[in-house]
Amino acid sequence: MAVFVAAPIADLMNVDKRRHPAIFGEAPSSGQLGEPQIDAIYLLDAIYLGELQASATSETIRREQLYSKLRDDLRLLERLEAGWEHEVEAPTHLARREAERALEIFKHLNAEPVAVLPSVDGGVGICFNNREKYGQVEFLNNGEAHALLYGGPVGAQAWQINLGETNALREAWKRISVYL
Amino acid sequence: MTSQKHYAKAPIVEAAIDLRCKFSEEQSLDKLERVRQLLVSDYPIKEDLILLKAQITPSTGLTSEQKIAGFRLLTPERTKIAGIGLEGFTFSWLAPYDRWEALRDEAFRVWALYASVTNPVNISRVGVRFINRLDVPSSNGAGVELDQYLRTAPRIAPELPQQLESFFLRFQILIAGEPAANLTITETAMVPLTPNVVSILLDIDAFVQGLEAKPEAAWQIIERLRDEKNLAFESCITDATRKLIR
Repeated sequence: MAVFVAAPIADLMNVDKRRHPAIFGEAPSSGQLGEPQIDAIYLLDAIYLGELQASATSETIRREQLYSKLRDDLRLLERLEAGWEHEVEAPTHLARREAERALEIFKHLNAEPVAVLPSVDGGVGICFNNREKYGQVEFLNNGEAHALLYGGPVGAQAWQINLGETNALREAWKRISVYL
Repeated sequence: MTSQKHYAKAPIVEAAIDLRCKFSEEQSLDKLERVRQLLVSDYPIKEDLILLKAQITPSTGLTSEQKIAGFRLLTPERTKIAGIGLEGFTFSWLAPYDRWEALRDEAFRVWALYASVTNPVNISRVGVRFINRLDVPSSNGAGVELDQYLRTAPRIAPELPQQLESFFLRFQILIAGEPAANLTITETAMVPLTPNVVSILLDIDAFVQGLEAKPEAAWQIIERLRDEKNLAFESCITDATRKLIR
């Protein structure tokens, strides 16, 4: 009788990525596609739809894909070395840990960051975008966090986020969401 | 018609209604913008729905182009999403889920505004899709016997170790009727939200394709698909799962 024992979270996410390319938006294998297609049209966020004949572009599946990729991007930052950009420090464990925690909160809030990138100020940035408007939350190596909004008609805004406050990231996302 | 049970802790993380349309005239983003204006008070957030066209030929290799194929309109909490496209309409309701009647009525209200501008002639495909997340207690990492919670689950040959670290099960069933429908059921492991829990995704998608139905008839089919979806859900889970979500 099959017993499901969830692997440690990190392993499970890695297994997930290899598990089914249709879910995670990777190139489907030839076995799934059949004959190579000359002219394939996919909705960017609907590979699940195309492959699995699902009814709708699932927001849930799309977000799972998105956050899987963002966690991967964050994990890749472990490999950065000091001087990756002129004399900028690589993101520290502290900055990466805070960014990871923030991703979980943002996911819970239905936020959709577009990227996780190293910060030129030393740290990790979680980026948001809607057309010409941008938002980012930066977790610096010294433990501070800042938010920045720009590109909208109201002009740029920046503020410090007190990570010690329980709802600080929730409030930051609320402000970013309104701006975007 | 199956009996419609209501669970206080329904594990639904997303419910969606989908209609693919045929129009008498080509649709445009200007028209969709008019739809957006009708919905802007309830769905103020707008995001583009991007269509990627990729082409592979021996002479040019891989080429691709992107274009906007519609808009995703979201409520401020981003829990209700209307996908208004050049080829169809999708309405998604994310957790917390309310009731079918609330989902259907809101989807229909938004659809009616979409249809009033785009004038679909026929519906070629309709679907009702519910994605459930079953969080099953698993203390000390002992795991859970899938058969205890699911009546449809992977079966491992007894000669093999029975501990699964991950799994993916997906199948499609033809449902006889007029018109014939399809049921796609997907089960897979999810990353748990809390410790001492294992999470299982149960994705049930009931749909009819190859249709040439008038919009009114399509909404009647949607009601039938909801019954098929409910039957599938009740058939897939056990009393132990019912106890968890009651």
